[in-house]
Amino acid sequence: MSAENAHASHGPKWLQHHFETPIQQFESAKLGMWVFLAQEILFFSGLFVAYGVVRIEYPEAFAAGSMQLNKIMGGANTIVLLFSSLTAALAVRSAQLGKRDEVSRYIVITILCAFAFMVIKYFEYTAKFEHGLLPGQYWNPTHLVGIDAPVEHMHVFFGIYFMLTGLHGVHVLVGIGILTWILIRNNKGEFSKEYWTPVDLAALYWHLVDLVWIYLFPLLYLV
Amino acid sequence: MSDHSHDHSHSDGAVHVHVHDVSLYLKVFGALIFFTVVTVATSYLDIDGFVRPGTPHGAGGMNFLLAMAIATAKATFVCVWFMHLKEDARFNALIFVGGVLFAAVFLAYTLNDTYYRQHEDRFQGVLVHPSTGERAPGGLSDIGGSCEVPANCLSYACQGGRCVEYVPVHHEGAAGGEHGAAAEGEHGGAAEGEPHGAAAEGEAPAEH
Repeated sequence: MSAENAHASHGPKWLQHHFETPIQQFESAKLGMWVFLAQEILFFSGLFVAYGVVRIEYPEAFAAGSMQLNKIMGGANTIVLLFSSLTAALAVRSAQLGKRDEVSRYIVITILCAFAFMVIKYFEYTAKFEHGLLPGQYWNPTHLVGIDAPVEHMHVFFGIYFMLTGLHGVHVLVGIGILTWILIRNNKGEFSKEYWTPVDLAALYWHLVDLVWIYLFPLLYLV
Repeated sequence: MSDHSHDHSHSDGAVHVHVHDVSLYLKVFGALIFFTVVTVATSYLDIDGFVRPGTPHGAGGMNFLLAMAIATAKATFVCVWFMHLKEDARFNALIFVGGVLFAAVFLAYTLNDTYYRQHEDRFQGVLVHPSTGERAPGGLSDIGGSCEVPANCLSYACQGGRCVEYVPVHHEGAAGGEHGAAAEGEHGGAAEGEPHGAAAEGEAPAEH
């Protein structure tokens, strides 16, 4: 114990006592984050596999369901998320240079983009609710685009749609929380040119949210 | 390209990274927006109908493959540049790519199972069980001589391992390979004409 305490007293405040050097702490944190991100891929993969199984089973229902989604809104959300990924990456870059004000500015823009994404998503969901395009027993289509009558099993598409976009939306909300936390810590002056790991990890999480959407958008809206 | 050039030896125990220019991030962003516009634009095109005229839009899978290729290109850009996998520890990249590969194994094996449920394998002469996930256990059942498909038969249907329907065709060439045709035969009611060949001997095909 005494040796560790002695060590900690020599290192910077942000260096945990169980790490020898800043680089060791940094690389451990990064490794942990990448393991978590790999887990996130597997976490989402269940729903992607469900998409594959059901799409092969009912291709007509998926084509008809996809027609009901608004490509413009989905495309706009894609651009919003890509832009927020850019600002998240730039926040990390500014953090690497120790520019605290720039970091805050980029994180604020990223958070605003996340809210913009959720607002667009809200309008999309509201339209689906109003038109009765809901899964299972709630399926009650009142307004269809491009087809005269509902296709059999079409509600299954909306089950997959709401599960995938819903789980992704939860990740966006969690991302807003994480980015806000990082923003507060940055404003408190916890980060510096020497220590910016939390900014980096939060950005990695945000990029993963973007990555998932990069696949969701074509799978649900386009093909 | 960089604002600073650092010694990467890490001998002092501090974290040194390569800081990229803003222009690099802007270029990557530009590429991502370009790919997004392309994937939306191509979704309006009927590539399947162009490659094989007469194919319903989306049924040939070309639109799907193109959209997935573009999405993968975009994902690669995000991973390599925004997430810094290019200069990150190789082990981190291995973990992440490993996760993706396991997801791919999950998808491939699951689809290989569900897709062939209740399909007759005409080469092995078996029916794949179960038809749904509710009817475990699975396995294969011999669909027997009555389901042996004559060379000039396009497709046939089996229920409960018993042949119930024959669909005659007019030329032999059509018998090969068309998976979709075999699947359609299950639902098609076009059982005109007589049952073919040796298949008819033990058991007459049931009326539909």
